[in-house]
Amino acid sequence: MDIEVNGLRKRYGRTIAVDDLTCTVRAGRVTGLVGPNGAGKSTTLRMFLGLTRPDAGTVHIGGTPYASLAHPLHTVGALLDGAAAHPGRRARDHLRWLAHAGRIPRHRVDEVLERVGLTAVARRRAGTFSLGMAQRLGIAAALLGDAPVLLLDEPVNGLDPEGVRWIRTLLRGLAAEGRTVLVSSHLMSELADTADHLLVLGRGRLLADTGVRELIAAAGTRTLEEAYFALTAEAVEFR
Amino acid sequence: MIAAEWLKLRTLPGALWCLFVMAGALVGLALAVSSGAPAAPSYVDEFRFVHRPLAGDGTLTARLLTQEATHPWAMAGVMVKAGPVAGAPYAALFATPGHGTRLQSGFRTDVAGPSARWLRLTRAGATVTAAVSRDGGSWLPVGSAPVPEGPLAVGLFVTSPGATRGVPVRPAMLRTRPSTATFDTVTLTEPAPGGAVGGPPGAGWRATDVGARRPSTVDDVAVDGMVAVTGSGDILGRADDGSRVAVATTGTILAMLPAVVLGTLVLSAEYRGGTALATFAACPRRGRVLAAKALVAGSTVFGTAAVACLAALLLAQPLLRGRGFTAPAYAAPPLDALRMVLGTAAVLALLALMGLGLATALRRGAAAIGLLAAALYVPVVLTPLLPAAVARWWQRSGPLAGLAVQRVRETDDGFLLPWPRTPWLGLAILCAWAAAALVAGYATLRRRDA
Amino acid sequence: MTPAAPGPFRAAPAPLAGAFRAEWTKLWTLRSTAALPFVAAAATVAVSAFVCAAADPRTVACADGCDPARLALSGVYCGQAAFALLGVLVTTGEYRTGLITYTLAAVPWRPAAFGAKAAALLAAVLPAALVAVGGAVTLGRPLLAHHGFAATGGRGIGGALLHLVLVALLGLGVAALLRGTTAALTAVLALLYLPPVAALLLSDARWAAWAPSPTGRGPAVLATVTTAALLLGATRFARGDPS
Repeated sequence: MDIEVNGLRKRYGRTIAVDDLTCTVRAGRVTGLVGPNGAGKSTTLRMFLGLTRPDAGTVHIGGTPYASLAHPLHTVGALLDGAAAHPGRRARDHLRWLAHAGRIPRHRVDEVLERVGLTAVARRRAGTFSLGMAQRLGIAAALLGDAPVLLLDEPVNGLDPEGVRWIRTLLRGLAAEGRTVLVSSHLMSELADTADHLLVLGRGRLLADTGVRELIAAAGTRTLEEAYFALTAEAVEFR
Repeated sequence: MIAAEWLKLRTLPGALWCLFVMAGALVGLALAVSSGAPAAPSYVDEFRFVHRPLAGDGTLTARLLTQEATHPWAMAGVMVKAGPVAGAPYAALFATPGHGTRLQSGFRTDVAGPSARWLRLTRAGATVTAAVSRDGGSWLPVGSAPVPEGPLAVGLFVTSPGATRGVPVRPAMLRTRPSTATFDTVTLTEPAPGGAVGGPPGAGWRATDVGARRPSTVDDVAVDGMVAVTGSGDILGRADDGSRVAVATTGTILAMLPAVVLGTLVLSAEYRGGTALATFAACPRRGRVLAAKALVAGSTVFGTAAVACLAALLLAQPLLRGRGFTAPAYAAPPLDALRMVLGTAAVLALLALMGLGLATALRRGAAAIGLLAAALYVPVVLTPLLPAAVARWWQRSGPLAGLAVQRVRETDDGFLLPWPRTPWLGLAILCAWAAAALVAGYATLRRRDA
Repeated sequence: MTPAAPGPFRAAPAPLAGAFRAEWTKLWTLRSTAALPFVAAAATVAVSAFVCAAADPRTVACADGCDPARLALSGVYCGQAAFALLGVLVTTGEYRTGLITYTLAAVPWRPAAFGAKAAALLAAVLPAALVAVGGAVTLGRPLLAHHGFAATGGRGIGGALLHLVLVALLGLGVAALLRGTTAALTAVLALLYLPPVAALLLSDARWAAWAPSPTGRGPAVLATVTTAALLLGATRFARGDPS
C-alpha cells in the first residue's frame, strides 16, 4: 500500500512549513524522512493523517485520503508526539481505548505490549514512565492495528542503544513483511542502517527523493552523513 | 527569586487576563450600578395590615403588649392609610425595638415620640393626630400628619425589614424572619350620625399583606381581646445612606473568581509546562519558592484591585450625584473610604493566596478552582433559602467574612448583614483561611516529588 | 508481497459504537474523571440534606411562597461545579497531553469523534445526575416533612436533572472551544455562578429569572447557552488543527 503525495503545501502565517511536496512512499521498504529541525517533517506526517489541513495538495494512502479510510487504524499505524498518553492513565488502558476506537480485538493489546516489552509495567500509569518507556508505548499504539502502513515520527527519541537496535530490527522486519514504513528523524546517522530510501526535507522543500546508495554516489562523499550535510547546508537556518 | 517569579507572572497570558477581568468587574459593575436609571418606586411599602374601613373621622387606640425584636427597625403599631395598597398615603404610629416610638408619613416624615405602650391615632378631616400613653389615661401628643379626605383604611400593622435596611448595592445576603406583635384593648371610635362614641372594634376587619408579590387578604378577622399580627417587610422611602461609598466595591463578589484563578495559575502553569523541575532545581528550598510565589501573586492582585477600586470610587461618585443622590445622611470620613478600597484589595489578594495554597495542596489547579468557587458562591446563592442563624454562621466563619472590611455604617448593618462585629475581625478570619491553605500547600510541597 | 492481510477483525461493530466505547474507556480509566461523577452526586446530596435539615418554614424566603422543592434540590448549586469540571476535563485532558492527535487519527471523521465524546459524557453524567437528584429528594423529603413543610411531589426534579446534564455538556462545549483547563473551567463557573450572584447584587428579581438555575426559566436559559457553546466547540473541534 503506497502513499502518494501530490503538491502538498502548508504555511503558518508567513512561514512556509511545507512547500509543494510531491513524492511516493513505496511499500516493502523503510523510507526515511530526514531534515534539520523545522524542515517540516512533523507537519508533513500530520497532514498525512488529516490532523493538519493542507493549504493545497493531496495525500492518498492506498488510493484513499486518510479521512475516507473505512478502517483507519487497520490501515495506518502512527507514532506522533511521542506516546501522548495522559500521565494519569495506565499503559494498558491507553491501548485499550485505542483498540475500541479502531475496532481492534482486545487480545492485540496484550500482544503489542509483549512485542514492545512493556508487559511487566502495563498496569503502571504513563506519567511514571521514562522517556524510553513512553516511546515504546507509542510504538505499541502504532503496531496495535497491524496496519500495512506505519508512520513513525522520531521513534528513536529517548531510546537507549539497546532500544535503538531493537527498533531497527523491528522496522526492517515490518518492511520485509511488505508494509510501508515511513520514519522521520533529524539525525541521518539514526537512519543510515535502517532506511532503504530517503526523502530529504529542508525549509519545507523536498531536497532529495533517492535511494541511500544513490545519495552517497551523487554527493561524491564517503558517508551518508556527509552527503546529507552537503545537501542541507543551506536549509538549516531557522526562520 | 522574587524577580524570577515576577517575570514568570508577567509573561503568563492567563494571569494578565485574570487581572484584566478582575479590574473590569470592579470598575464595570460600579459604573453599571451607579449609572442606571433611578429605581422606579422610591419607596418600600410592604407589611401586614389588619384593617377596616374608616368612612369619616375616628380614633383608633391599641395597646402593644409584645414585639419580637427581629430588627432594630421592625415596626408594630397603628396606621391610617388611603387603602391597603402599596404606595398609598399613610400615617403610622409604631414602636421599634431599636429606635423608640415613631410617627411616620409620606415615606419622608419621621418624628420621634416618647417611649410608651398605648398608641392612638385620631383622624379629623385631612389631618391625623398621634398620641401615646404609658397608662392609657394621660395622653402625650407626638405630632400630626396629613392624610387624604374621604374613606380610609385604619388598623394595626407589623413589619420586619430584611435587605431593605442594608446598603442598597450590597447583595441581600441575609433575610430576617417575620416579626410577631401582640396587641390588646383595640378600640375604634367613630362619631356616628347619632353622636355615638366609643365601643368595641366590631366586625368587618380584614388582614392584608400589603405590597406582597402575591397579595392575600383574609376576611373577617376577629379583633377583640388579644390580637397577634405577624408580618414582614418594611415601610421606607429610599434615600442616600452610604451606598455612595459602597458602590465602589460592588463588583468584589464577581472579582473573586479571577483572583482565585490567578492564584492557581501561578502554580499550575509550572506543572503543566514542566517548568516546575527547573524552578525547584534553581531553588531547592521549596518553602521559599512558595513564599515568593505568594508574595508576587498577592501583591499583584492587591495593587491591581486597589487601583481598580479607587478608579471605581472616583468614577461612580459624579454619576451617583447626577442620578439625584444628595449629600449622604451620614458622614463617610475619607478614612472609611480608604479602608474600603484597600480592604477590598486585601480581600482579593488573600483569596488569590487561598487559590495558590489550595492548588499546591491538591496539585491540581482545576480542582482548587472548582472547590473555591463552590465555597465562595454556593453560600451566597443558598442564603435566601437558609434560616438566618445557619447562613450567618457560615458567612461569619467562612472566607466570605473578609467582606466585613467593606462595612460603611456602624448602625444597623452589623445586625442585619452576616458579618463579624468589626471590619477587621472579618479580614482576620480570611487571613486565617489563606494561611491555612498556604500551610497545607507547603506541607504537600515538602512531602512530595516535584 | 502483499501487505499484512487485514486481520480477522473486519466484521466489527459500527464505527460510532467503537468511538463511543473508546471515549467511555478513556473516561473511566483516569482517576480524576472516574471519581468526579461520584463526587458530584455526593456533593449534591450532602448540600441538599444540609439545607433541608436546617430549613425553617418561618424564614421570610419561605413565608412568601418559597418552594420546598427548591430546598430539597438546593444541592444542585454545589454539585454543578463537579459536573462542570467533569465536562471540562474530558476534553482538555486530551489537548494538554497531545492525546487528541491519536483520537483524531483513530476516528478521522471529526463530528463522530466529538459526538462520541459528548455521548460518553452523557452516559456517565445521566446516572450520576439521577443518583444526585434522586438522593437529594429521598433524603430531603422526610427532613422537610419533619420541619412542617408541605409535600413537594415531583416538582423540580426534571428541571434539576436537565440542569446537571446541561452543565456537564456546557463544560464539554466550552472546553472544546477554549482547550485550556483553567480557562474553560473559569468560563463555565462564571456562567453558572455569577449571574445568580449578580442578580442578588442588583436586587432585581427580573434579572434573577434569567440566571441559569434548576428552577423556572433556568433550564431553558442554560439549554440555549449550552447549545451555543456546543456548536462553537464542535466547530472549532471539527475545523481547527488539533494543536
